[in-house]
Amino acid sequence: MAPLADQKSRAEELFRQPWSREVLVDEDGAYLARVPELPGCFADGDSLEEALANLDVVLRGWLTISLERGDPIPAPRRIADSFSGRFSVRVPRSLHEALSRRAEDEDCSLNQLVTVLLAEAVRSPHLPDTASSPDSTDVSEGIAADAVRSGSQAIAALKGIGTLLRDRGDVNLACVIYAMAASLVATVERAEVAAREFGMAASLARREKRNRLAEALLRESVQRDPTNLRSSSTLGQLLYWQGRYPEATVYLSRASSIDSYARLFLGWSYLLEGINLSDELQKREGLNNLDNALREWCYQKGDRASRASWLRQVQRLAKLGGRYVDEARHLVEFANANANWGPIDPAVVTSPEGDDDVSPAPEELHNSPL
Amino acid sequence: MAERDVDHARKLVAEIRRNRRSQSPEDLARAASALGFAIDRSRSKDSYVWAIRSPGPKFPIPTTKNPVRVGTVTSILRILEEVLTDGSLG
Repeated sequence: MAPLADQKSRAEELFRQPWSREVLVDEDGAYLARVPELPGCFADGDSLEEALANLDVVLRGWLTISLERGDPIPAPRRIADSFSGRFSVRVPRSLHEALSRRAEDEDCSLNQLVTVLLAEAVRSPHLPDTASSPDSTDVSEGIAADAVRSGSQAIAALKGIGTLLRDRGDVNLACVIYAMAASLVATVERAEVAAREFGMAASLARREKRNRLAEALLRESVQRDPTNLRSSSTLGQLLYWQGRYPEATVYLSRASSIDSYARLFLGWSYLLEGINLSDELQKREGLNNLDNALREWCYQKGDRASRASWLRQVQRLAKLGGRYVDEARHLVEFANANANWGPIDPAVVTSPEGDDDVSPAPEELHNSPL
Repeated sequence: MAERDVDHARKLVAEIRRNRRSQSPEDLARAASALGFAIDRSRSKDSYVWAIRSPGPKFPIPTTKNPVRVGTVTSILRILEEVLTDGSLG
């Protein structure tokens, strides 16, 4: 056996070899680092840095023990194969956190997400003019292979492909792929989980104003899980903006007890349908819901940022004339007593504050912090 | 290795597989010992003990975290299961 000092210096020399280092995130979010060439050479940590520092300690130990016992030590992969497909990169913590969050949102591994993003980035500089053409980029073969398998691997891969398509601007296709992933989720998880996935795909479609697609996805979500109130509320709002009030009320009423947006839209749906049909009962129901939602809005979120949006709602109500003007004035009185945005002159319910257009923009309403 | 010892080792490994989130360093060392690993506590300033099998694999068991993190337990479990199934236990 070699003298101890020789062994130590040999171990140190081996330690400085260009060993691969692979970092994985475990199921609980902790980091597991390993040297893939050396079986049993791994260490963990709460952060990437901690895991890699611990791996250095373990690597020294692993090499020392191997030298002492005369075990064979494989060559570092970077020498044997310069393009092994594994490399480690130090990134700012903020970027690491952002990537991890996005991977979590997409329900895929950090590794898969980074692979997709890198593939996209490597290709795009060479194809600057065709970035949005359908055949300008391709998913990696590994991800495509995962996508056609069954089970959770396929789900993550499909979501990765969906993200690639979304980032490329192919929103419709991205939604189709997300929906395929959601259908697969239904085979391995409870219906509620699949319904959430359909709901998330619908959010993308809605954000990009693909209303028919969003409606189809939301209906799928609600059908799979009627207790998914977020999808019910969103579907109701979508139907409302298309003037399909009776249909809208079906979905909005499910969520109206806990979702103030849903109650506001439910109120408008009943009220406008009641006016269309001259149905006093519906009008009263609508006004009641609208009144409750607007009072809650100014009481709970009476900050300056939401004042203009709130006021437009009230002005819109006043524009209906007759008793609705009185109702609007009562709402302003309530807001003046309870909201934090400062006093509103009751006269503005019938004469807008420096703005002739009193119709509420849908986007504005969506973004209002109700 | 006697049949009884193999059965014992198998049970310990099965227990780790069932409860990967609640394994102490001692639990892992015990299972490794049952599979013929020597437990070396003399290295790494108390941060790790080493499970070493002669001939065969070796791996560190971190002793600073109890229970041991699930990713590490999974890695260790994989090695133990390989030893258990490779037929060298007699």
